Amino acid sequence: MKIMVIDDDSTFLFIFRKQIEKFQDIEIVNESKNGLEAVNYIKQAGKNGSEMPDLIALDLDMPIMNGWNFLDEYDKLCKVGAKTIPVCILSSTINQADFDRADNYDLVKSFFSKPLTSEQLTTMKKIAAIY
Amino acid sequence: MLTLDKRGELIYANSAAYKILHKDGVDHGTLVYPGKFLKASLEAIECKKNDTIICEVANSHYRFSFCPRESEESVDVYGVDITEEVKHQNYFTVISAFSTALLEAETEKDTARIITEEAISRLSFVDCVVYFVDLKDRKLKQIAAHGPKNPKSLDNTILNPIALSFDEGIVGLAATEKKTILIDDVTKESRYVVDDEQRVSELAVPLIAGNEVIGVIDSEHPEKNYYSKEDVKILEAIASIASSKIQHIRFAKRNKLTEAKFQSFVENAFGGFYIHRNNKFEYVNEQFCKITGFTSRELLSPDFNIQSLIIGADQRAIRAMKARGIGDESPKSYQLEMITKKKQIRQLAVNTCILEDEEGQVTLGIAVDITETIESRHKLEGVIASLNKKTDELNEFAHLASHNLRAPVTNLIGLLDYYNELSPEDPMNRTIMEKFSKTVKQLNLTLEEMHDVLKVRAQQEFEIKKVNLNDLVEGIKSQLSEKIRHAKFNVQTYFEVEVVNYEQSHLKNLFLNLISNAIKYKREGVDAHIRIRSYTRENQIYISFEDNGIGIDLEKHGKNLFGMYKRFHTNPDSRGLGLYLIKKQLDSLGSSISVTSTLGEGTRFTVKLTK
Repeated sequence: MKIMVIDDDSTFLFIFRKQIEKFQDIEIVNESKNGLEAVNYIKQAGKNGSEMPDLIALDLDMPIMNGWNFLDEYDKLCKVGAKTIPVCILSSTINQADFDRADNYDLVKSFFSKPLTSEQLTTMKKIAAIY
Repeated sequence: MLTLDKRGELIYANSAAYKILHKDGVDHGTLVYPGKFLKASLEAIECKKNDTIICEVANSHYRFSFCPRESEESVDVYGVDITEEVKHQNYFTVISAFSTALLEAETEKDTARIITEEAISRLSFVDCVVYFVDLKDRKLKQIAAHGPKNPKSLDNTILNPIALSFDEGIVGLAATEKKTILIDDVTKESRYVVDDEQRVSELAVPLIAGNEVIGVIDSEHPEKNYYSKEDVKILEAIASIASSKIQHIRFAKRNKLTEAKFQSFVENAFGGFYIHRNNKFEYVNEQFCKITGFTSRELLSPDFNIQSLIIGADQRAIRAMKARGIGDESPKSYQLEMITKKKQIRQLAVNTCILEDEEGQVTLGIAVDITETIESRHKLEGVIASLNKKTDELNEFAHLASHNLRAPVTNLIGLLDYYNELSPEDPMNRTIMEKFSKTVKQLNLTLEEMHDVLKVRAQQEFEIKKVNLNDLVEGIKSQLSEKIRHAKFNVQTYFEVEVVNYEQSHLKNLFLNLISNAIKYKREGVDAHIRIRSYTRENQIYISFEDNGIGIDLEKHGKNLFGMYKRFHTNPDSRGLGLYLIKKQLDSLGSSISVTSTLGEGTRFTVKLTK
């Protein structure tokens, strides 16, 4: 499974990389520090043939363009032909309002609260396989 | 018919004449002439002139007509029984005297007295008592009397007055049956109640008002079969006239009482009560004067127009009032603004009701001053709004805080998973410990920030003193000297106002944040600077901070710019709290901050200090 991680927390990314070392079949194709970087990657990948991920792991709280704004922007891209990739939210939030808000997005297939577990990574693989 | 000669000697008498004038009523023998009879006969003969007299003979009345004969010195006398006529005449006199006297009666007792004094006493009744129904115990009480029950020496008081219930005596029967009861021989009546003495005939006539018995006129006589049909008629006539008089008195009394109650209610009413006709007041109570600030003399003056009170009133209310057509007498409520004598605006709740009288339409109104109520309601709404805002802010803070605490904590947990305990020499452990240390610092910072936020919010007391802006900027410049030198940053000041009265810590925080933000977000390739100005406009002190940095996309971030934990750049130092704290502090003292910015050119923050 090729995965794109959108998160500005370098410590989390460090741990995340460590976690997927255990899985031979998970590969990070892009790390973006915010939504805007991610949107730009997806746009570029369509043109220059960079690798498209099978799954997007998305944090919510980020500067420049947060997770919600990314979902809106990406949704627009999908409507004009970009590849629809399943999104899993990875966030430290435990706020019910955030869970409810995520339900409104068809793109969002799952919502994981940090810290991320190996079981959750397995689930992400299954999601990527289904869509 | 009889004929007399000039010496008064009887020449002729028919049998009817003998019957009337003979003391034994037989048609022969000597006649007895009443009073002026003989005198009138002789005068008629002497003067040769017709004459008429009325005489009473043995309880009957006769009219004698004297007709002298032309040729002889004699007179023909014709007698006619006019007993009934005289009785009627008498009744008429009694009734008219009674009615006239009754005009003077002001109370029910007066009426009772006039019944006995002006009516009964002129009739041939030996005894008569007027009873009224006492409304308290429904008993018939003796109110006035004629005869032995009212000795002249006692004036209008009654000797030993008795009270009868409706089932007692002939009086009670008349009251119960609501009709006249005539008893020719009470000795045969078990209901008869002896009052002062035993009598034989009794006549009781009820006084009826509407459908209610209000009393009884009762007369007794020692002879059997004493009362004639005429007696019944006249007593009924008296009762009828007296009843309507009593009813009238009671009605007037009740009216007066109601009027007095209403007047007292209106005068002491909590609301301002008024009556107006064609925009002129006809009545105002004390409270209304108090509300308007005018005296009643001023308000009731013919020059005073009601409309001058409600200048600037709610136009809807005026329209609604004007829209009320003739005949719409239903009560209406309005809320309107009134201007008092002292030119103060008060909020009134007014209830009006239009009534029609013989002079046209008149408006009755009650006005209550609800200014305080409205003000306190507004105040309460303000308090509720501010409480709701505070609650929302606190909720937001709680969520952000929990998020910002959770993020580093989950990282710490994650990092621990990869610490190689078996071989501490593993170079990975070093990296993990570095990250661990960084995360703990971040956690500590978050806790400190939370403390700052709570401190700013909780601050209730402020120390307002003279702050010299030049000194303030110099202090901050030395605090940031390292960064300023490194960025080759230029801080320029143009202070028209050098000293301001303000909470020093707030100003320091404001300057420190905006200056360090300007350094943080300076634009590469230009001589980075910030220009700080202070000036006065319309009696208000302003401080502006203008930099030539990278600018902020206000279209995107404008509404969140001063929000909590809102970050707009990837700068790792950015915590998203600086502007939030600045704004909270300025708000707490009634100051305000605004921002204009152009991407790639720079940003200007303008602070308007509270007066």
